[in-house]
Amino acid sequence: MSNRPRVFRDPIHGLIRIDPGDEFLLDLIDTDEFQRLRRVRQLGVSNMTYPGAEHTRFNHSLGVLHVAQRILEMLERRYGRDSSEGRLISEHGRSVKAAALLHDTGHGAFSHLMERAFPDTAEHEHRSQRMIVGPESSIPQTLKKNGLKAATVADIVGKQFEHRFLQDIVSSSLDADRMDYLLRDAHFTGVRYGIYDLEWLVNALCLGTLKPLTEEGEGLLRLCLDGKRGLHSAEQLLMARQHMSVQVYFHKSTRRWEAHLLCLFREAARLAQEGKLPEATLPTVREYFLRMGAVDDSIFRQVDEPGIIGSMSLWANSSKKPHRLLALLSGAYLNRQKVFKMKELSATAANEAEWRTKLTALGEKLRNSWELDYITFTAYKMPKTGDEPEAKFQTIAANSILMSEGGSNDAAIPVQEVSPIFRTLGGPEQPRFLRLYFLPEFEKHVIKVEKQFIAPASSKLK
Amino acid sequence: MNSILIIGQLLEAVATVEGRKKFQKLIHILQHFGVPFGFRFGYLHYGPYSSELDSQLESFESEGLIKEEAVSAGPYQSYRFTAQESLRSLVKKLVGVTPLEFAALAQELNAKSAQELEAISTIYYLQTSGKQGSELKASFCALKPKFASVYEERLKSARDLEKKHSKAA
Repeated sequence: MSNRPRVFRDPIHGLIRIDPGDEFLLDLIDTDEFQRLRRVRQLGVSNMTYPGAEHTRFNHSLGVLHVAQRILEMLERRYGRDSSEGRLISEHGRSVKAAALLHDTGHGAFSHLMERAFPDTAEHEHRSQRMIVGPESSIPQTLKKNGLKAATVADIVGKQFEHRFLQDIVSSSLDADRMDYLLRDAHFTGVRYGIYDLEWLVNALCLGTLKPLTEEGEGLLRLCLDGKRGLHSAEQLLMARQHMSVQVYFHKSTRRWEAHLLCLFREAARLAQEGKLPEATLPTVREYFLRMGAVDDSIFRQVDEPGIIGSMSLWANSSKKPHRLLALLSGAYLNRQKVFKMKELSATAANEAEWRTKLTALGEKLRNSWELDYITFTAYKMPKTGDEPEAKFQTIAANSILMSEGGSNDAAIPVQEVSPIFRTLGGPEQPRFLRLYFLPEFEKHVIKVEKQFIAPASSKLK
Repeated sequence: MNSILIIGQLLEAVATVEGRKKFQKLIHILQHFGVPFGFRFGYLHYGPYSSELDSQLESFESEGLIKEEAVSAGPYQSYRFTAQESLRSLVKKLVGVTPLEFAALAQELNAKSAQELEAISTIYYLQTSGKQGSELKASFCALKPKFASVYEERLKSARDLEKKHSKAA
């Protein structure tokens, strides 16, 4: 290979560069496990609402690599290669890049939607770690061949890495993942909510030390904003997250399509368990639904969105009686025929518990005709002022965007201490939604259930 | 069943939980044993931690379902969680008197200190990430140097709990 850097064209970042010396990244990109991400869309069914949202975990992962590379370069320039921070970056930078690239290899088809259908699959970080170290994956060999330890890369992805600031680049409230997906999702959906000043934000990053609130434990070296230089772009990022969540990620039409597929996937699982899925269903897809997603890594790797959508084409054409619901939901999804009705309910935990219990009591036969969707969302999680120290520190360490004066020994403080915008968006008044989606034939049950409430919740059908 | 009802059953079984960290670890371990709370946990400074659980506890408190009251814990303030009457009534109305599955495990865990639970839940978390044997020990001791000297003891507790309470056992 010549010394010319390899580049990928990208609509968000322009050119994504792989520098000479980092050819191991090309080897990782060429693995089956990474190429599979071409067949997993970033936003599941958002393309039903926003037709442009066809981008995949593959191009997002390249974007995360790009942002992570830029953060590493900036920190190395800032602290110098001979500083203790620079030496850590030199020692582990390649592992951080690998982790940035591979962080989503554990995502299943339809991403978070499948995790909602089958809670046992709600562990994509663990799955990503296994993809990186597992004996059935080609990734550990590829890493080893290039002088990298798979366990280190897996620890960074799994948030178990000892050098916290390097882990922060891949996984924190101010990470390359979030910096890429907000811009990318905004671009491909066509909305303008996800926009913030990435250039300025990356250049306003530095290190600082977060001190535990008890005497126990040493301070953690963390990725921070430099003084107030990056505050406004971080506020923009937070606003972007808030607006993208309400307008895109939790959009009621998108969630209607999610409810549609949740019912379809559960029905496919039920039929698979009864041995009644249409015979020509792909064996890997059959196995996946039979085990409700809890399959071993070799099967997991073979299940992607084209495989499941292809199965839906097959299912839609079945005229057998046991396949009535499966065929209806498959055909309606493929042709974007809206079949689910929606009812907005008073969004409290108690109301959700009551509706869910009453709806579940209607029995398993009707279970795949409805979906109760309770969304509570916080763009930024602030610790309570009065928490016991360990718990408060845990919340700060987990969720806060931090700020320091730029020296790595300077104290890292949560940004909400200086930003009213962070304090407001981290406060108790946050968006909440409780929506019931159901098939028209199920409406009579909804009416009956509502009558069981002493004071029916104010609601309207849509 | 949704998480608030299971938390209601949990508080029925143990009466009170002292400390937010302890609540996190208790729920992580119970979920590891199969209690379907449905929370996603990541790894943090004090071990497995779910920001979803943290947010939900806050919203349950704001709805008056659980009570979180300050209690003195040496030089610091800790927080005691109990079920409010509204949660007890909700559980009674929707679940009846069915006790929490793993109630005995919950009681046994609640009798342990928050630090013990932190070590045990960290062991389970690392195991789920695929770490076993010497790799598990190395990872545990690197992440939790303060517990390195009691690693074997905590590993034994974690295994004993699994022997005693796993569904398969």
